Amino acid sequence: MDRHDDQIVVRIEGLRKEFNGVQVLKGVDLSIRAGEVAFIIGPSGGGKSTLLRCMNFLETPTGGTIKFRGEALCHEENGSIRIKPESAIRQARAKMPMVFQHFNLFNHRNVLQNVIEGPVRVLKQDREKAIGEAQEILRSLGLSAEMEKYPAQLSGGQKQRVAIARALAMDPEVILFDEPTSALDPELVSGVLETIRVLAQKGRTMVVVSHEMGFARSLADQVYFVADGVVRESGPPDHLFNNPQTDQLKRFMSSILR
Amino acid sequence: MYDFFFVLFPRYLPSLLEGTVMTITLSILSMAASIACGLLVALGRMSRFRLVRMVLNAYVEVFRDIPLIVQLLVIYFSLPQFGISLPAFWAGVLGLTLNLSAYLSEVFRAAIMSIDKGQREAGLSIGMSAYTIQTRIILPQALRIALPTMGGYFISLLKDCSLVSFIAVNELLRKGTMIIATTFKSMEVYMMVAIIYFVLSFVASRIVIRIERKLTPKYLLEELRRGNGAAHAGGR
Repeated sequence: MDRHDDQIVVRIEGLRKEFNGVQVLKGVDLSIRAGEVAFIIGPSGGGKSTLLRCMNFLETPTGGTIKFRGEALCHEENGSIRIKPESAIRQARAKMPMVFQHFNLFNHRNVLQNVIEGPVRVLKQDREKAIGEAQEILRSLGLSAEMEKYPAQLSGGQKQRVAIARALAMDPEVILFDEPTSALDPELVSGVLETIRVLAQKGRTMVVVSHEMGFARSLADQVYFVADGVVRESGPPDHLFNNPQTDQLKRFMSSILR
Repeated sequence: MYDFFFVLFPRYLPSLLEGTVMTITLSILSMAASIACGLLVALGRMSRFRLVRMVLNAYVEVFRDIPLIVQLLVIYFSLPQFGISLPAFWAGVLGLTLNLSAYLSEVFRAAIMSIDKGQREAGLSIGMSAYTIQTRIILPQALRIALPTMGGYFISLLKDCSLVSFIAVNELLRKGTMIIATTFKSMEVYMMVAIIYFVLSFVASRIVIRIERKLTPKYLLEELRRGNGAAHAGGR
């Protein structure tokens, strides 16, 4: 436990999400510590992405508690969920940005503008300062030559690294990754994974939904196996991958490794 | 032929040009007002309040289902019965605006809905407010998509202004009709009016293309040149 202290950044308890009568999340518990890299794995349709999207309130939970830095963003009272006002949710999002499977870069803005949009409009940073920091971030991600380009002019791997830069520019406490390499051509995957690895080495707190098992194994501090709307198993990757307890995880592992 | 171009045209031109200026004034005022109203109506129709949506849907339905000329006549001749009487010019602007806003709101709504929902989510995910997302992310992209169609509607509007002659606004067509009333040269004067309308619309459509170019990001221009872009809606 060298690089994490015991400080819990995100704590989720009994999280539930229902879409039109279908329970997608049936009571999820998990805690993310500062400096920790948590991977969420599991079969499709099992609720991984929904869980991540609830953390960012892109989906509104229907039950349970989400605490961010000790502050409950939602909790239950007398059996119904209470969600903090919009402004509090926005503040939490700004400190817990998300990187999407399909990048979702702002198409009408160039790379630099994509990255400074958040700091300038949300954090109300001085524009010049934001530009300086954005350039620094882009340089560190190997995107110096792309700053003036528009998203349509970039490769998928470059787009995803710009999306990561956009998240980093928010000076986040946690970065959420929703299948960051699933939409990429195979030859572009490793560049993006490498970027995420470097962030992990710098001690970034990250929650990653991914199908890249080898990557999870080498990078994760904690792995959560989510299926049927609950965390079926969790633990350090070696433990989880070498010694799966549930049949579901065993089946999932063999289907992935085949 | 000689007479037409070198005697009659110069004789009636000053009067016809006055009408042309009126037509242009009506068009620009109505267009500006319609863009603003159309945008508000489009956003209102996507509101989460049912009542707002219902009222605005009804508005769009009514104004698209009644001919513009009838709307103008109602505003000018029937509203005074209810104590609302407007000068002919403003009745014209109001009628054109109410009508065009209904159409433009549909254009804007379609353009806004065509923006991938990931754009909104990306804004949300870094803590942007709904207002910032709308003004910084969605609308700039949507308006660019709507631009060619808006241009088409503007050119339609220039021509639709001729209908305002029915409520005694001295625009181009009515100026022509007035000249004919005193000279009986209907064939020649209507031809002149037609030529002026053509020149007006032709110039306007060039200007619209200019504006479109100017507002299109450079990286998209290439794509447009290769031929899959900028369809110019011919209007209604």
